Amino acid sequence: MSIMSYTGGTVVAMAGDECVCIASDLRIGEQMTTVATDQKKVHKVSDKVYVGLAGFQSDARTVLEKIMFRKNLYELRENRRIKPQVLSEMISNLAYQHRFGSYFTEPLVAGLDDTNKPYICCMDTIGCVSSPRDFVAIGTGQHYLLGVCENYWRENMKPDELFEATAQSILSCLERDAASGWGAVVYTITKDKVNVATIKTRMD
Amino acid sequence: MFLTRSEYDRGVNTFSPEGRLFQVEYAIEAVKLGSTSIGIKTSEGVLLAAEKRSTSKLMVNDAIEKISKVDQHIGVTFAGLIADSRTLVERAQIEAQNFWFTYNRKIRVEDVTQSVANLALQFGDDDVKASMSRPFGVAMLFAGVDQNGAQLFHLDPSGTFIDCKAKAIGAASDGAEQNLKEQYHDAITIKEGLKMALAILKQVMEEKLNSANVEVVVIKPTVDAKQRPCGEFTRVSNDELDQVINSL
Amino acid sequence: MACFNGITASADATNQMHSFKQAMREVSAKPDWLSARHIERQRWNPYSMEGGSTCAISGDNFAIVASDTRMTANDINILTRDAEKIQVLNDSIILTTSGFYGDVLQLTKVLQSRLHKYRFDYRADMSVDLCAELLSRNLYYRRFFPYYTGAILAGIDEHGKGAVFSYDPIGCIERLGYSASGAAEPMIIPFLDCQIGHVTLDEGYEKPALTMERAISLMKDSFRGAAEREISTGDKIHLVIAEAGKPIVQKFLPLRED
Repeated sequence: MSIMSYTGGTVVAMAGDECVCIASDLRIGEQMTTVATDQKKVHKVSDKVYVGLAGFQSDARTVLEKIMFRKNLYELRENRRIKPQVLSEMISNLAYQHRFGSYFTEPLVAGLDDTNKPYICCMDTIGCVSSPRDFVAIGTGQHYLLGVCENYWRENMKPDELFEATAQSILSCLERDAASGWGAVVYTITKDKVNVATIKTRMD
Repeated sequence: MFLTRSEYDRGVNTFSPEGRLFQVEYAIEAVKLGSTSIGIKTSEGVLLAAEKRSTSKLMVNDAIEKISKVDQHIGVTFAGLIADSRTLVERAQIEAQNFWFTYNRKIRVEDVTQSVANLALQFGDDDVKASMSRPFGVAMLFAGVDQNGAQLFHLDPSGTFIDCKAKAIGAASDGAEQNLKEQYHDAITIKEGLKMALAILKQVMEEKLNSANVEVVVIKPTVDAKQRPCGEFTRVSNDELDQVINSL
Repeated sequence: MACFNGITASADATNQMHSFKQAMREVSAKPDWLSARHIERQRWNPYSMEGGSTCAISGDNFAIVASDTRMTANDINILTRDAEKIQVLNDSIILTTSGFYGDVLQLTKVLQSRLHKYRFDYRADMSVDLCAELLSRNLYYRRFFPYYTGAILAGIDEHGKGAVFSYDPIGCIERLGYSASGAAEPMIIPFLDCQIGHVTLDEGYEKPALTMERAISLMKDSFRGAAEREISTGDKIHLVIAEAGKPIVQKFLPLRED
């Protein structure tokens, strides 16, 4: 079993019209054993910038702290809010600094920039960024998600449509992915607020 | 000029000028040396009844088996050379198990009869290809319940098999069949069938009929685990037989 | 004498060259740096994967089966754009297989001949229920050198209902409402879970009935989604429709070709 699926976990993000959605499951495991059922893989970095970290969660914790460290330093030095584009560049750099001995976590960034344009991206363990306009998925349920999202994503979705599409996608994924599950949390980031919803999935 | 009959009955694969295979015909005659068996298809299933003829007072009648189980839903009775019947019954049993193994379903009575009929014709004086050097000297009655309901098939040594409502084979088959023709009707029940079979046996048997020298099997319709129609093979106990015999 | 020495010298040189070449061959066939893992990886592999995906959906009185028609080598080289992965075995049985195409062909032939023989032995066409069990047995016969295929058997069963049977390569059988196999299986299955299985819908919500039109449209969506993301799936959709009491219909629909 690969270290990337040791703890399990899935994160997905979708872009809409002046809104983005980012969702993750809540399970943490040690291979086949579930050890926690309340572990979000999505973390708030700034007001409208969120990061998701799938893969080996021990590394994800460390990486998150390093991200916060750099982001705080950035905001203090520059005295302005970080944009998701900048954050992804920053994480990419961080990841590539460990090119030979990388952290076993795949980061995902979702947020709105200062013009409220949605930005989503994901990268591999060494920071190769891919930033499509529609959706990104990482973690053990990636394949399941890509198929479903492909069918649910539409151009310029409004926040409520976007939430529905993201929620249905992750729900369908969790139905099949044994390494993720135990509920999901969905963040809908719009220009004036962030809506957090915890949804029930099959609890096994 | 036609040669006499006896000169054409040496080889099993030689026709007589009249177009007859004497060895096969003789095999059919061999059936008439066997003890009588009767099969009756009823509205509630199908039953087989067979006479168990003991050749000596010292023989234990329980050891004779005149009705064999092919599968849970199929039974077979035979008349003629009992030793030959073992081969055929075994083929039937293998074929039934093989079908079940491959398709996870009970074989139909007709199909099991067909496969035994195929074996019945595989005789010849060729040492390599043929498994048997002569025709089998037995006739058989296959009875069972499958998806088509109660079934009764008669198979003779020539490999011919016929779907029957009621049939008798063995020594007293002619007399027994005459009785069956007179008494049989489509709405007959198992109970009536049992009584009819035993009454006929009583009439045609040389020995006095009792529960020790007769064997009866009833196959009643049931459903299997997947709710598909199937049969249940049950031997009628001596007590039940005695009851019916005493009421005759 | 000089001439004789010359011959010996040239024979010597030839011998030396010969042993040099021999040593060269040996070292190139088995270089020192070749670790056990390298050797293991280079071992001849009896299987290959030609990619592609297949899917089947059953309804009340119908079953539809679809596959793409692309065949690839190493997932990136397209061998053909119109490979047949669906076989109509008789009026009520459709077999669809993905995986190693050599095994797909063999398995298809085996089943076809068994069906042919069944017609003679039992004087009737085999039903999909029986064929499903037969396929399971046939796959398990090769337990230790399996057919490398993900088979799905679909059709109209003895009661006139749509049937889909799904298999693993060694004959584990399951009757399902819908199934997918092949490279895009993980993409198609959750979508159908959501749309047909309604697994994401809470109890008490209205669940739309599965009509044939809806099944066909879901099938198209599944393959279009899969072809979008999965590189060995594409070119055309081969759609086969079986409806109780009607002849089987086959169609080819366009799919992206890149």
